[in-house]
Amino acid sequence: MFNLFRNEWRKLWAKKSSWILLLIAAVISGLTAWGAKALNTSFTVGTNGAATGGSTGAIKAADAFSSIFSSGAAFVVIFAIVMTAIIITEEFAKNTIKILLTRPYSRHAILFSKLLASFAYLVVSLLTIYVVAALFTGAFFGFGGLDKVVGHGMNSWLYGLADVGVNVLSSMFYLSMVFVLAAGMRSQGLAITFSILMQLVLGIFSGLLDVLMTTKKWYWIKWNPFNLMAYNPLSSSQATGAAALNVWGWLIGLVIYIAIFYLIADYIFNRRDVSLS
Amino acid sequence: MADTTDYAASVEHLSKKMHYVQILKDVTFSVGKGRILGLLGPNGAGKTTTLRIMVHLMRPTSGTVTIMGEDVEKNFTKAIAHVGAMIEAPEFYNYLTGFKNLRLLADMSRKQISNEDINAVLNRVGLANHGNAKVKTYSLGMRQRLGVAQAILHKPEVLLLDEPINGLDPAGAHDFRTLMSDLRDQGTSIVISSHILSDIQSLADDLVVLQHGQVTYQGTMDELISHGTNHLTLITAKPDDTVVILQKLQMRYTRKADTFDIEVPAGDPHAFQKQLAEELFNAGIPVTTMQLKQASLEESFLALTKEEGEKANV
Ligand SMILES: Nc1ncnc2c1ncn2[C@@H]1O[C@H](COP(=O)(O)OP(=O)(O)O)[C@@H](O)[C@H]1O
Ligand SMILES: [Mg+2]
Repeated sequence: MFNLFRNEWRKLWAKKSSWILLLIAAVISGLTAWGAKALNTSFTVGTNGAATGGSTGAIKAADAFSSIFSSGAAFVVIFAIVMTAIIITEEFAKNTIKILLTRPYSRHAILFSKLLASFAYLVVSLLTIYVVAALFTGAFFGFGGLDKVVGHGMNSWLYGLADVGVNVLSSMFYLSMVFVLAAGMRSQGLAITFSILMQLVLGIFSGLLDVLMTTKKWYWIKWNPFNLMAYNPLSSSQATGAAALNVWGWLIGLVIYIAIFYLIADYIFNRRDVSLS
Repeated sequence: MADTTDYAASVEHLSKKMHYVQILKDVTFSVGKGRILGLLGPNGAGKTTTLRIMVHLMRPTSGTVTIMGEDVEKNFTKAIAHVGAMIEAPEFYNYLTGFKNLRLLADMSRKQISNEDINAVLNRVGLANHGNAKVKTYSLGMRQRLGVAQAILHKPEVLLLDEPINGLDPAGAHDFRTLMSDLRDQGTSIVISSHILSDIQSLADDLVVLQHGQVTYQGTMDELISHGTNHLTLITAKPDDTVVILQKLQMRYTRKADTFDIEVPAGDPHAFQKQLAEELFNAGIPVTTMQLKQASLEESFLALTKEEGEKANV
């Protein structure tokens, strides 16, 4: 299994798009940092953008870090979706699937190695953006402010890592849905387009379910996968009362949904006839 | 039928329906150990589909495939470990070099394959100087060679090659034939599909002819030759009397001046030749020339496939 994952990992990084997309996300973080600095001069304390560690400066640096990371992370998630659709459908589109599936590994193993590669790309990209965001924050606002507690008893460094974790989990759920789409599709372009459009549609769908839940008081609807995906345990503006979710419910729920979607993808991938040239 | 373990690979009663179209119908054949089997048939006959099912890229609607005693569907990983395959035009990761493509595939093998082994294989297929070029720069012939390389990389007992000579230049085709007969001599069992008989006639020991998804001929290469219509060229001193004899014998023939071209009926052509000579002798017709022309393999094949094709169409 490790061999399979290593192969997928090598193939992923041998593609230029993997690097380019990550670079774009980093540049967007940089632009956010620059924009925050340029538009809101009150962010800065002291000269040359270096924070002096004064209390207002500290809070500004923490805010800046959070928004710089968020902007980059939003793109990383989309790019991880794109790369996931690519690593499955490209094998079919370019017909390399033939040489992959005629090796002594089951299709289950082949698809699982792709899932691992997809998740690993997501994690590595988000961690890269975390580091990049920290560097930009340091460069524009100084590192001094990042040691202060910002929420849940965590300083900016830890809070940022927790943010990476939340992003990883909800995106993993999304990626498992991309697996279902890509496992049955032949066209790379369609798979990518659908995967990204799905994000939009899910947002609308999730909103509708939300309305249904509050008007009819069907609070079990809170367990729908889209609500779980939208939930952020770090955020304070969440549903309350019977509609509220807690961290453990969210975590276990997402893992179950990821498993279900992945099993569907696996079933489709296994049944699929590899034909046409 | 003999036990499937006697063969390197067996295909039994394979049928495949796709979109309500019967692509394969009750296809059965076996690949003898250390032999080369030619899978011959016109375009669209179902050769590729058969090979895809043999490596489980596709599922048959019914029927089984056994490779080195393992059922491909039930015991896929065990069965496929014995196989090297090239199905249709070989495809590789274009953004990687030839060597790196082979490295990836080598890492998916059950056997330990070193970088030296990979270089040896590249050398064997004539790509020694191109291993470090990206596959996207390869010509069709070079891809074909790399396709053969990935199939033989792990020294499989069974090789399944789909139209491997397509896209090869004459030198490449020659190299390929040499490589295949070497591998056979080392005990590898090989299936080579083709729509051109002459591409495989010097190579194949056995032949399976596929038409419209059905096996229409199966036998050794030697047996095929006896299948064609032989012709007898006859020149006599009394051509008009000869016509009478030929008509009496209900022969099919054409005449050009003194020369007759007679279709030899099925059966032993030499016995026929003797019988005709006796008839002519008894009628007092002096024979100037009587020459048996055995059908070439290509002619035999065409005659056979035409005949069977007509049957299959009914
Ligand atoms: N994916 C498919 N869907 C429907 N028909 C197919 C498909 N693949 C092949 N066929 C049909 O099956 C027949 C056999 O094809 P194939 O096995 O490729 O023949 P060959 O390799 O002998 O040229 C052809 O008539 C072809 O049109
Ligand atoms: Mg074909």
